[in-house]
Amino acid sequence: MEELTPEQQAQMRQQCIFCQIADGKVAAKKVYEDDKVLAVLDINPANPGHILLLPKEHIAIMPQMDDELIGYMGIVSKQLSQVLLRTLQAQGTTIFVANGVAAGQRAPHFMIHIIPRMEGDDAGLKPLEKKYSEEQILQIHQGVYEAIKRVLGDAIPPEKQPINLDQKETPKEEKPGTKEPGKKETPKESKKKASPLDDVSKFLTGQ
Amino acid sequence: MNCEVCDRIKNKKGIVYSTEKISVMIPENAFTPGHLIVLPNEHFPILEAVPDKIISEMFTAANKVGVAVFEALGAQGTNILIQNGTAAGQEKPHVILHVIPRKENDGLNLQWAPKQMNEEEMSTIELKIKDQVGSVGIIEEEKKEPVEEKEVEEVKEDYLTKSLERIP
Repeated sequence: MEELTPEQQAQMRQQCIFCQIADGKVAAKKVYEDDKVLAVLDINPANPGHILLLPKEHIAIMPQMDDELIGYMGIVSKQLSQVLLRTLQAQGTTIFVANGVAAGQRAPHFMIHIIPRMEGDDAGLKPLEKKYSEEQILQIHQGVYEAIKRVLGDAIPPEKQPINLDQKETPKEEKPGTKEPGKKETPKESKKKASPLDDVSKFLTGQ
Repeated sequence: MNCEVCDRIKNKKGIVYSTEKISVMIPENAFTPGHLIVLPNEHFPILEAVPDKIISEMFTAANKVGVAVFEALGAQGTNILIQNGTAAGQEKPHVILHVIPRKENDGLNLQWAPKQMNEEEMSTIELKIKDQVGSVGIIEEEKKEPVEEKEVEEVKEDYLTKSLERIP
């Protein structure tokens, strides 16, 4: 994170409604507070008891947060979820984060939503699942392998695709004598193979 | 224990990253291409059952996985989702944290219709919750195991008494 001058920080906090709430300048229904985080009730809740858990520090999106703080916020989310189950007789809870406008982020301050749920309620957040084939799973694995390795420091490589005589696709070409351990198919190469998975490949090649 | 998620972890199906406590996996049933899941290796059916240290590791990993999908898949945003309990849409009996890559107009609906609540209703709930947050913010100590030492001593005694018995 860039270092801001005290004046810049103060200005940023003045422009962010959630910083204002954390600083006590704007009223909110606070249900929990400590030196790192603040939990308030959402005034437009998905269900009564919908909690917003915020870092007191101004952080816009999750990647800007350090490991210790996001780990701590995860623990507090679990604990607040437990409180909702107990006090409101909720039958479940949804834990939700939106990073970026495309993901539905509406405020410039990072928050974790902790939403009490009842069977059959209309609070949504139950996306439909589509079944993946083994091939799709392999493509995704190939697509994310390098990035996971770089960001997490380690990754499990995708298994080599076994040569299936039933398939119309040509088997992998092997140059004699030049075995390159660790050479993986790039997403572009896998796209050239006959694949009915347009949306997957588009994702992988950034179209 | 018949948990298909535990089986997948054991058989290392679709796992992209793993530590002693958690794994990052490509789910068999996905919400969108590139959807990855972070889960505890040990079987826990609901979030509240997961020890604090494991939750912390899951969230830290999820944050990094979010960055990875952002870079690798050209995502414009990410969602983190935990469906805790069937009322929240939990499908498998194993705690799963979803990292969902997003793009404008990807057709994924993760929104809700906000409800209107009056001041009185809000205040009642505020008080109910505040009343029970006493244990929030306190992180569990890892459980120690002093019992092991005792067992070792008992075994030693048996060996000694047995060897004494053999002496004619």
